[in-house]
Amino acid sequence: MKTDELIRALAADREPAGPKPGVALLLAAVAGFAVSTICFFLWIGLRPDLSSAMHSVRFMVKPVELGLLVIVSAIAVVRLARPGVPLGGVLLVAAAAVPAIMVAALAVELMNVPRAEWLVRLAGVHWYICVMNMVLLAMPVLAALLFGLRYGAPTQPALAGAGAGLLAGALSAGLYISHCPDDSPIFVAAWVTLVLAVTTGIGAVAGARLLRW
Amino acid sequence: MKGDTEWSELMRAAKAGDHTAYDRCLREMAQALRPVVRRGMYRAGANPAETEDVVQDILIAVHLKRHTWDDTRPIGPWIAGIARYKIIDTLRKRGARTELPIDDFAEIIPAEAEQETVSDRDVTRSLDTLPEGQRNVVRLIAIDGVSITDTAKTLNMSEGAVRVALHRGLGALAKRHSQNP
Repeated sequence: MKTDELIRALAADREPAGPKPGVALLLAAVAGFAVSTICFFLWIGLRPDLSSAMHSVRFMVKPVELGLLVIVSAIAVVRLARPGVPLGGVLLVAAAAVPAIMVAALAVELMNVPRAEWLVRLAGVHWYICVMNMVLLAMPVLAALLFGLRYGAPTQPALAGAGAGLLAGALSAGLYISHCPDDSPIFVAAWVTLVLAVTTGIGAVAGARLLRW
Repeated sequence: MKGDTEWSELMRAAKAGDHTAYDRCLREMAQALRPVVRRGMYRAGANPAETEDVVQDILIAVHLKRHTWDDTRPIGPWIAGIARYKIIDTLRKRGARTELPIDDFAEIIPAEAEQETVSDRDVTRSLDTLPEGQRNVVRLIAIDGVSITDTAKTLNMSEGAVRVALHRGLGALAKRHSQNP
């Protein structure tokens, strides 16, 4: 088939174009997060002292960090779904604010807590269960986001997948902090970071394989 | 960039249902892409004779992914992003190195008409891989230039079925090419 002939066929195709990347990804994120939330309430549940915890600064740092991370990574994923759209310097600066807050909170905690207490706070009640649960709760969101990205046109599939993994991890961690009794910034800096690294890595590998078009 | 505004206008018109504008837009893009793709293939050590195949890949992607263009932004970087991706994709499948200087694609501007060469035609997309129903529809509309209505009559199908077969056929052409090694 010659190119002129191909163009004739393309111009004759009047089937509607797909949904805009922002819309497709929003629907995907909502659906995936709904599944994660249902799983969370079925098998994990809220911590009993949630309402009193919400009055403490050490708890409230977590939703601030994760909320910011959700916004930044969501914008990044939508941009990565469109060819020729740069991530943008402002977005990268905003993203850098998340580790900055985390490190600042960690510094304050280390100054106020005796050294002997550090490892206790790092381990928390059961860090490995927290890590595992957060990674698992991120999977429905990640799967949905990758599905949504297939309606887009990511020219850097691994990076787009990594962004989806980061967003999924941040949403999952945001859900899980309403259960986890460990509020210490030492705990958060270590284990939430590990969770985000794992989900981002899974997203990158999956993206490179699944997001070709 | 003159070409950018022109194409943006044509694409917006196309979105609003102006099929003539869309046809013209794709033809002009094909002409502009041809030398850029040829240069990219040559520089990467790939066979420039495959240029037309890659151009067709890009055009199909432009069509099937047109909803990913944000019409408040210039269209040039969007097309350049797709072109770059498709060239790299082609090179990756050939096992060649996959670095391309971005500046080659910074400006894709309407260029002097460069016609398909005879050798290009030999390697362009084949319809043979499509299922029979889709193949017949795409062949009648693309190669024979038959309208949707007449295609439906010829093949004894409903117009809706012809439209769906055409759309699926184009999607299959894009997919087959991006997945085969």
